[in-house]
Amino acid sequence: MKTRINNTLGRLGRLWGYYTPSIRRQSLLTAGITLVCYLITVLSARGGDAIGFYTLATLICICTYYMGPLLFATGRSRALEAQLPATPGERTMFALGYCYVYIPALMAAVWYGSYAIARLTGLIEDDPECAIMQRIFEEAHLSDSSILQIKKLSFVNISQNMLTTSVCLYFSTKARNNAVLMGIVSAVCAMMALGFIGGAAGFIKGMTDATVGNCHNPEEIVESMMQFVARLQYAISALGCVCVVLFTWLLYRQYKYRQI
Amino acid sequence: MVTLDNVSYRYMKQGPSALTDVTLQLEPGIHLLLGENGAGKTTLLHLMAGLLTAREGVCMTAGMDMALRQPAAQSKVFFLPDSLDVPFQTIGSMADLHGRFYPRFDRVLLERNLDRFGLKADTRIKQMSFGTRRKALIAYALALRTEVLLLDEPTNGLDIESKKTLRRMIAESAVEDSTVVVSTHSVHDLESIYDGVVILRKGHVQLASTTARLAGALAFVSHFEPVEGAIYQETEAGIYRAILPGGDDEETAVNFSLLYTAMSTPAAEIIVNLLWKSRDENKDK
Repeated sequence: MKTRINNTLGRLGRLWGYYTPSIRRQSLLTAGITLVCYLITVLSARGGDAIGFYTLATLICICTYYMGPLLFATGRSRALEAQLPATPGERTMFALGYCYVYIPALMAAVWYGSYAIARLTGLIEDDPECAIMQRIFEEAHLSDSSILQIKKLSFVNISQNMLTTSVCLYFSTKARNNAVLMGIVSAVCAMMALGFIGGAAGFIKGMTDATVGNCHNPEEIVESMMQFVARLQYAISALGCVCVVLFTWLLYRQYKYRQI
Repeated sequence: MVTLDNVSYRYMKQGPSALTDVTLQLEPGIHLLLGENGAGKTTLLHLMAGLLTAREGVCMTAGMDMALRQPAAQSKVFFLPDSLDVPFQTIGSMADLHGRFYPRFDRVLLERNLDRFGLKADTRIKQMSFGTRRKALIAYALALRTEVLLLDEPTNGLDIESKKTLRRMIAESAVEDSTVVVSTHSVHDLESIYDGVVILRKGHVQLASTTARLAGALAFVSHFEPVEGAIYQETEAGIYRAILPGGDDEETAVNFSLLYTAMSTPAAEIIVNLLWKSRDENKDK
């Protein structure tokens, strides 16, 4: 068999080929989970008091995205994977493309594909997510400006999600033993760290407001809190971007200098 | 060809050295790598494959520095560890998806190798026993036809007939420019095929020689009586196996097992001196 592998694109294609059996398995699992989560969302929108289920479905969905890097937790086939003729840069590029492009694209395709099919077959009339969000806003008595603020924040969340994924990617490729477990634990730790930062900031904000007594009615309190959350989200997103770059650099170094 | 120049490696910065000042040159051919447990055999194979990078010194495999991890170099080397899980269902799919990285991979040769072991490319790897999986992976590794092939304990788990088949297959696959390094404790399994031997002891190269030079400098004999003038001899089941200085008589086949045992005794120094002497004589000629 004569093959030409002296170009980056060719080697990236071959890397895809090498991981194909695992990609197939993970794609099926990811698509399945996304589909189930979408069904839960649809049922939640129809049900009266099902916001909890929607939140759970969203969490499962996002965790599925975080776990994309587990493809690279190679375990006992590590020696085989490490010998593949590809540069560290190509390996990094492939891993980033898989985790940040392929997995989100697959999930989005299943999610919005399901939405389109449900709309075309008449199963749903409106976007179930919008219906649930609308209900949350109503229950929380949010003003229009607050809703706008939340919508703006949705794109900011991307960098936070990428942060958790990049942490999982780095640790699952670094670990010599129990690589899958290390990937999961590191992702959970990253999520907890982000949650802790948010919780601590919220606590300080709440205590400050309570002490100073800036706000007098519930709507003002919610409004002020939303603005604070927005500022905090932007700050955390900036931190997320820095961390993603840092972990990508660490990943590259890991591929370049790792000792099997 | 594999060249190591003053290569040292330690797993932890402050830890003990796994390999110290290893200088070697392995010409194309089949080489036997011997050493006690923990001598550094697998570390040496990892360095040759570029899976580890030397803390000091340079390891050149197929003419390229493996520490740089360049695809051009990596596609010329393949290392088969003693225990390996493959992420493929069958050897056939492994050939399709993994073999594409290796320009000289020969699918026909793979089919032939598998056939000689009585295996098929579409058998599921998970359904294979340890020995069968080992045979399938060896058949695959040989079909990659890399310039440098590194085999760690290839005969582990193989039955007697398969070992014979493997011996023939390795001997046939060692084409002009290819270097095969076999690390094993079961010396007898593939004994007749080696072109050279490297003996490692506590991270140092104790002996590195071609089989031809060994056969010229030493004589390996077996007798029912103790052998006089032997550099080293041992007895087993009433048979005396001895190493003698090589003479003008006909060359004897190298007994690697006996040589290895002798190298752990004071006779090692005499053997090394005889090999040096033979090298000098050859140079003079």
